[in-house]
Parts: sequence; structure tokens; C-alpha cells
Amino acid sequence: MIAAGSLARWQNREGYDEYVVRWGWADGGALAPGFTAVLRVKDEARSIPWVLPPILRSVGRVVVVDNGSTDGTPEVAERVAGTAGLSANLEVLSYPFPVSRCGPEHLATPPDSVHSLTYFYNWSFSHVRTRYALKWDGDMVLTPQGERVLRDLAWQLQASDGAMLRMRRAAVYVESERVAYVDLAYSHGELWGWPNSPNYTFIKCFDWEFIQPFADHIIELPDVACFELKWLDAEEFAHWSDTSFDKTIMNARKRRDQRIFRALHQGSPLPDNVVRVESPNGGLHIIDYLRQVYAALRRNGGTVENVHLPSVNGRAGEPALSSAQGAAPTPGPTQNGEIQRG
Amino acid sequence: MGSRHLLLVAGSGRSGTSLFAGIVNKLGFHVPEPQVAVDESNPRGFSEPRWVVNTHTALLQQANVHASDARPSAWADTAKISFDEKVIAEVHGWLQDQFSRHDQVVIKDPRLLWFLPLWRQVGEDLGAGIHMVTMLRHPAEVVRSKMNWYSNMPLVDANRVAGWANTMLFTERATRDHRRAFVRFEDLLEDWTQPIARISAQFEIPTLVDAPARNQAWAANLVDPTLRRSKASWEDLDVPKELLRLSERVWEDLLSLIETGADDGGAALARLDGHREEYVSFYNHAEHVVQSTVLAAARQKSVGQKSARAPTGSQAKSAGQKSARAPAGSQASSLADILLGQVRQRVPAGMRGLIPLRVKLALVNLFKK
Repeated sequence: MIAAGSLARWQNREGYDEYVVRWGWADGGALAPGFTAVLRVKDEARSIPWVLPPILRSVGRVVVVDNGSTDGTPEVAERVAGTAGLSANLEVLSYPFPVSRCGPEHLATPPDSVHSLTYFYNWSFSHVRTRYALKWDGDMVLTPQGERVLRDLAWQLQASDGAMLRMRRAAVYVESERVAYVDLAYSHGELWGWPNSPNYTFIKCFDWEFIQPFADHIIELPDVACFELKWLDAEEFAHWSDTSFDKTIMNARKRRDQRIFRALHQGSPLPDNVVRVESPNGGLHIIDYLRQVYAALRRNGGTVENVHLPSVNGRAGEPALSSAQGAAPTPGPTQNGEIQRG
Repeated sequence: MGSRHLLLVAGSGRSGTSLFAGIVNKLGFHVPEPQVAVDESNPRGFSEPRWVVNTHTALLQQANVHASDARPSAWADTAKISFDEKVIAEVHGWLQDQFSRHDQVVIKDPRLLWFLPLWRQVGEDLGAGIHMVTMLRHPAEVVRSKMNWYSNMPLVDANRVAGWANTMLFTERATRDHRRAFVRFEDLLEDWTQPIARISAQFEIPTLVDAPARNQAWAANLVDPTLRRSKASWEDLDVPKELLRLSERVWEDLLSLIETGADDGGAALARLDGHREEYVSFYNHAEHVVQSTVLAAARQKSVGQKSARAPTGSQAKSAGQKSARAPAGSQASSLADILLGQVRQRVPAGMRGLIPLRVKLALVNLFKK
């Protein structure tokens, strides 16, 4: 791998010219203010209807990089953006190479290989053409509060070229269209946003990739900005090559995920700070409901009493409360039908 | 829209924000008590809640930002503070208390513009309709007025104009996606009923124009054209031509936003985006130009600190005696230095960079114990 920041064009060891990393900051043209969100996705068609519209509304441009989905994720992304009237803000790219999974597979893959997570991330983020890059996952749902925070940061950071954004997000385990479990325990924050400049690129570390450098000027986003979807009937740990999660402190979050998953599947006691949330009668999908009440749930320590659902106010008002457009129906209780606790 | 309304009055100090807040107060909006006391600079009252002023002042101090700060990067500093859950909870609790007794609340403070997203968010969480009013007054008049009334602050003309450009450009951006209105100070003085009626219709708050005649009379009594005591032109001020031209364009484009829907289909907003970019670039270049001055000041400060630390004759003697006793603390520091030196030699820089600073500091402290 060529040293970070030394050149604007990074070759891959396999020699695929069309997948050379060409950084946007090297074009010579001025970068537009604001954020570009980059989503690296694989088989996220189910989550995309809830993930994409809020992030499309919040940042100037969204780049979805599909890595070999078999569930029609790119098509769903384009359809969802079209339904939201935001197709102009979306770019869908394909990265066709198998990418090493986190853990031992990643460790064994050189960082300048197209199969490396590090290379994949650098290639994906090289498509950013704004002053700030925002890493986003295909299962992260912005709340209305989070949408406003990102929209404001676009101008608040206009003259700041060294800030990094850190955010904590809670996991939401979706059981059915009406029921989910929210993990309100505080996790360690991760870096999600940084300046789009030669100083900020991904490097290889043991289990996965890291963005460097670790800046001193870090802005902590509110904890109520977003939550992360986990479908109880899906294989949540498929992108890990070793699911023991017992090696480093970095994997503490994964260990907790695994513990909650098992508890929900096996009907064993849940860890502390995991709360069950059920959407009220009326057909509102649990994810739409959580988007509206998540901030209050977080701030009230797990209750949603006396919550004022956001009203339409001004041009950037919230859409009416309804299920995400283009969403596939959520399966009912998991295959074994054991999750019935409340 | 529900019955709760939060009216946020922003704008540079000395732009008529007090007058506007005072008028809507007389027409039914509540100004939370206690208020900042009247003084000679504002004989009809500030309409500023003391709690709000104290809170904003503390937050600005924490962010190291001045109320009329000219640095465009200062917006990131106040944003950072505004994300603090403790701050959000405090503002939420205070505003909830206000709404428990009044449905219509007006918040005005010259520092408010630095925290508009915070107030908007808290207001929305409490189910209030959010309305933002920005008062407009020509920058030359604002600066002249500030020179008269804020003479205790050692700010020069150019910095004050830059502060006006920074705060107004970013306030316009902050309010852009929300229910907002712009009001010219002169218009309010000339015929206050027209701007207020326009806002009443635009914000769908009929109670403003439906206020009892007695309240309307109270509002009218607040308006005194002689309040516009500072009239000035650019000729009175020592301002770089580039900044003067930019500020004049900003002023003209802000004026074009006064009439509802008069932004030329977004053309004025696009021009203001361009002005903001130009201002950021202008300020960055200005910082680069004066780098020598900044470095010299930093050197001077460093010298001052060293000389302040330099021991006097008796102190030096005392220090020598202490040195001879070789305190345990210094030995521990030496041990820590040796161990850290070995770490530096054996662990590559790239790997050292991955160790969080707090961990490094904890290790140093461990060695020192």
C-alpha cells in the first residue's frame, strides 16, 4: 500500500485499473461544503427502506457501494430514493470483489488487495466530493433529531477542517413488525465523520480497518441521533470470520450483541438495559415508531410516556408517521417462534 | 399546529432585537422572568431572560467563543457544546417549566444565534411550533452603535464588521430550513404594525394581531424612532475594502429575504451561500497574513511564563537544597521517562498512534506513583 497521503492514486496488487483508488481531493477542484455519506452494503435490502430516506434527507450526497448483494439491495436503494424524490442525491456503485471478513481473514489479507477491507473502504470513500465524509452502515437508522444534527453540521463545520465526528448508537433487535428490543446500555463511541482530505485515510489493523489519524478535535453527536437494526431472524455475525469475540476490548460490543441475540433466541434472561418496545395499535411499523420515540426512550431511561411526536414545521418538516415506503414485510416471530416475552 | 409557540429572536446586538421582543411581549408572548435590568443603552428594556443570558454566556465561555466572534470556525465549537446531553437537559427543563405556565414564549438574547439548533430541538421535543425572527440593521450602524455602547470591549471596526458578517451569514443558514422571518429595524421603527401583521400571518399566530387594544397601545408605546441613535455610513469606519464590499452584498441579499417568497426561487440563497464561502476564505487568508503577529504573541507569552517561573535568588537557593535531597517524585518521573523512552524505541510510531491518549497518560501516572 502506498503511504497515506503521499499520492492521490493508489494501485491495487491485482492490477484492476478500474478499481484504482482516485481520491476526490486530488482532482484540483474545490470540494463542496457538507457531507457525503458512504454506505458499504451487502444484502441490506430489508433495512434500506428505513435507512436510506433519512440519510438522503440529511446530507448532500449518498454513495451506496454494493458488495455482491444477492437480495437486490442496489435496486431497492434506487427505488427507495426515487419514491422519496431524492434520486438526484444518490449514487449506486458496485464493488464486485469478495472482501475478507473481520477477524482472521482480514488479518491475512494485504491492505493493497482488492479483497482487503482497508482497500475496499479507501476505494469507497475516494468517491466523496464534499469537504466531509460520513461513514454510514446499511443498518443504521437516523432519528428525526439525528437528521437535524447532520443538516446543521453541514454549515457548522463549513470553516472547520479538522473535526471528527464520534457517535454512539444502540442496537435495536427487531422481532416483528410491532415488537423490538432496544439495548440502552452505553457503548463506546466510534468515529463516523471526518474531513475529506489526504490526512484522513483508512489503515489496516488487526481485526478490521481504522480511519487515521485520531484527531484531538472530536465532536460527539447526541446519543439519540441513530440506532442500528438487527433482525432477529438473520445471521447477524456473517461478516465475521471468527465469532468468538474474546480477543480484544474492541469486540466488547460484538460480545454483547451475541449475548442478547442468544438470550432472545433461547428465552434466557436479557442483560440489563435491554427494553422491549411495542408499536401502539394503528399499524405503525416498530421501526417507524422507534424513530419517533427513540430520543425520549433514551433520555427517559426506557419509557416513552409524555412524548411529543414531532410535528410538521416548516419546509424541512418530518414526513407523516407511516411505514417506510418500499419496505418488505417484516417476518413474524423468529423461525422457532420462541420470542414471546415482554 | 398546537397551541405552544416558541419564538426565537436572533440578530446582531444593537439591531432592534430588544424592541421586537418587547413588542411581541406586549402582544401576548411571555418573556421569562427575571429579566435583565434596564440600563442607559436600552432604556425600554432588553426583554432578555436572565437565565438565558447566564446560560449562553457560560456556554460561550466554555466554547471560547465571543458573542460577536468573527471566526467562522467558531460555529463548530458552539455546535459541539450544544450536543452535550446535560446542556440539552438543562435547557429542556427550563423551557418545560416556562411552557407549563405559558403557551407562547419568546426568547431573545444577542448570543442566541450561536445556539439556534439547540433551542429549536428542545422546543420541538416539547411539542412547540418553532418560529425564528432575524432582525436586520445595516452593519455600519450596528458597528457604530456597538462602538458607542460596548466601548469597554477593545474591538476594532474591521473586526466588528467581520463579526457582523460571520454571525449574520451563519444565522441566515441556521434558520433557512425553518419557519422564519426577517425584519428590518427601520421598518419596525417606521410602522411596527406592518412587520408584525406580516409575521402573524406567516407564522399563523393570529393572537399577535388579535391582541386587545390596550396591549396594542402598550406595544405602540415601546416604539420610539429616536431609539435609532446611531446612524453611520461606511466612510465612518476603518474597514478593508474587500470586507466592506462583501458585507454590503450580504446586507442587500438579506434585505431581499424580508418579503415572503421574495428569494427569486432560491437565487438569493445561492448568493448568500457564495458570500459565506467567500467570507470563510477571506477570514482564512486574513489569519494566514497575520501569522507572524500570532507567533510573536505566542513567543511573548511563552517568555512571560518562563520568566514568571524563573526562580529568584532565594527561590533558586531553596530549589538547590531540594534538588540535593533528590525527592522521590523526581526519581519516579525519571523512571517514567526511561520506560517511556524504551516504549518509543521498541513500538513503531504507527502502533503508538493507536493507543488512546488517556491510556498513555494513565500509564505515565502509574509509573510516577
